[in-house]
Amino acid sequence: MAITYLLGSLTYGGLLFLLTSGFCLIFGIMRVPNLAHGSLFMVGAYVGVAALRAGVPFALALLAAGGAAAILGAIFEAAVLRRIAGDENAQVLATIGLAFVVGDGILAVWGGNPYRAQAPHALQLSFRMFGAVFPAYRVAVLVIAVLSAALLWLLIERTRIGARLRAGVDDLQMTRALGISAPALFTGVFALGSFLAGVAGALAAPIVSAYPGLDFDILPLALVVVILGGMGSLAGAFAASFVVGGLYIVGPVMLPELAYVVLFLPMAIVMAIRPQGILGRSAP
Amino acid sequence: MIRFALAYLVVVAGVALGAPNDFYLSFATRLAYYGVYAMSLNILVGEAGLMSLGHSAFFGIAAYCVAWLTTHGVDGWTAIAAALALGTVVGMATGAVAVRVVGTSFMMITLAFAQIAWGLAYRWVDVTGGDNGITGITRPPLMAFDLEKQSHYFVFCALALLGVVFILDRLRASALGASIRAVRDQPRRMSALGYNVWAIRLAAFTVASVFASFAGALDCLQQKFVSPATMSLLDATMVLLMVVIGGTSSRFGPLVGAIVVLTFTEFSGQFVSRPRAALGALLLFVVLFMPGGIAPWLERGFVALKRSLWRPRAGAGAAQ
Repeated sequence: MAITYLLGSLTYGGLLFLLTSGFCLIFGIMRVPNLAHGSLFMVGAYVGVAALRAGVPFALALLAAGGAAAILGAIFEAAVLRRIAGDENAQVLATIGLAFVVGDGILAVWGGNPYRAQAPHALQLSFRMFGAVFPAYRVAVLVIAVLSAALLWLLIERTRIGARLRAGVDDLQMTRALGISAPALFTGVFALGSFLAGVAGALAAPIVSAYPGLDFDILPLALVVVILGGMGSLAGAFAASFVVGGLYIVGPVMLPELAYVVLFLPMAIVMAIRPQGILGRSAP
Repeated sequence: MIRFALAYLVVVAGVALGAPNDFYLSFATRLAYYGVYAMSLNILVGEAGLMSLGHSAFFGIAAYCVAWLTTHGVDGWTAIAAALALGTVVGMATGAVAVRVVGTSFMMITLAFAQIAWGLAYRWVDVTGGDNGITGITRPPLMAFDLEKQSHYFVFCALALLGVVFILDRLRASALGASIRAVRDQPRRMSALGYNVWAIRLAAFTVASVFASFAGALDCLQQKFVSPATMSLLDATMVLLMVVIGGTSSRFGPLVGAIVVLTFTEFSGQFVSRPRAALGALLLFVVLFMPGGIAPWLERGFVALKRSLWRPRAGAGAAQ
């Protein structure tokens, strides 16, 4: 039993990390708390299910889902967020506005019923280990999430684009003064963050299925992760994702009535003691 | 401000009384207490400069408190008093943590508290009825008035709105009101002057939660039903939208916003097939093209109208 929960927690943690890494990138560089991030996740879930149903190979379905979310994110950044740069309240409201439009748009396209797809055939089996049954798909999700984390780390620490991103996080004004185009950087970051959210949605779809309201179900989880880990800290988000994944899977089993308290109370306590998050730097 | 609130109520009552059935009267009642709700949030957003994403928690907690008590044999007025007391206590407790931070962190932590409240309402089925909510709530009588009659309940809510407008006006003019605004604009200077910035913000947070609780209690008695949806992020956003659309810098902005948003959500279904998307589009429009909200526009128009109708007395221009 315990091992099944452990795997469930790890899988959920992996999904949460994919989702929140995008949020962290966007917040770290643009200082935009993107409340439409859950909606991008939902777009990914629906596009992923649609692609799988159309018989598209799994890897391509993930890319299609990420791509759809990335395009949406890039358009939103260029058309709306750029005009209100620096105004935090306006940005929050604009991203909520986008979330409403996307949520209803999806409802108009795909209707109100849950939209499901089976995991790809090769991953539908399950195997036994340590006396517990492991569905192969969950293991695959975990592997993909960890691989993505590694790729993201390589991108940020070892490439030219990553160097620009890190420069943008550290000192945006100086970065711009050195001739790095801020609009391109911002649109790129927003597209990359949206891509990650979309891939996470498509990966989650065979487990949770795509349904209306998924956006605002997942968003609070992402926010908890980000706050526990520290706004904008990828390493913090990685650690916090697995903590929250565990709380999310185990909490309802242990204390069904207090599931949400179990989930959100640690965050409230962290905020009270260490407002910048466990691994976050103090706010500028 | 009182004059504006009176004009607001005359318009609202005119709409309601000229209407063929109780639907419009119910709508007018909701306009009244959503006005209270939006004004309470504007204490935080406009006066204290703290944008809360969790204000619906207090509205919902009070609604649940009244619903549970009245369905368990407690008198309606005692239930309302208990709801206000609970709102005060919860407001102080959560505010004590929340106002340690400002800006984005404040938004996130208030959101977290609202999610805790929502989760409790949703999962604590024995007390809250879970997703089904609590039904069978009745309105208490007030002296000779039978509040079960919609027209009587409307008048009661309208008077409640006037009372709240009056109290908030006094608060704004008070030393506390001045220090709340000062802490918004110059927290460091206030701190250097020896003011306790945290305590002043906490006071604003608590006052805001008490009035939101009052609105929640009125809502519970109007709808005679309460469900976790009252505390959802969607509802928290809707009241924030009221404040922002109306205009946070204006005293009557929240009232204007309440009219616009409620009318929009109530009637847009007849014209567009996707009201929530329309609300989102409206939000984007306001953020991009009218960052100050509607009220400053109206205010300017009103002043111009006044100028053209009456000769301005000396100093009358400085009134607003």
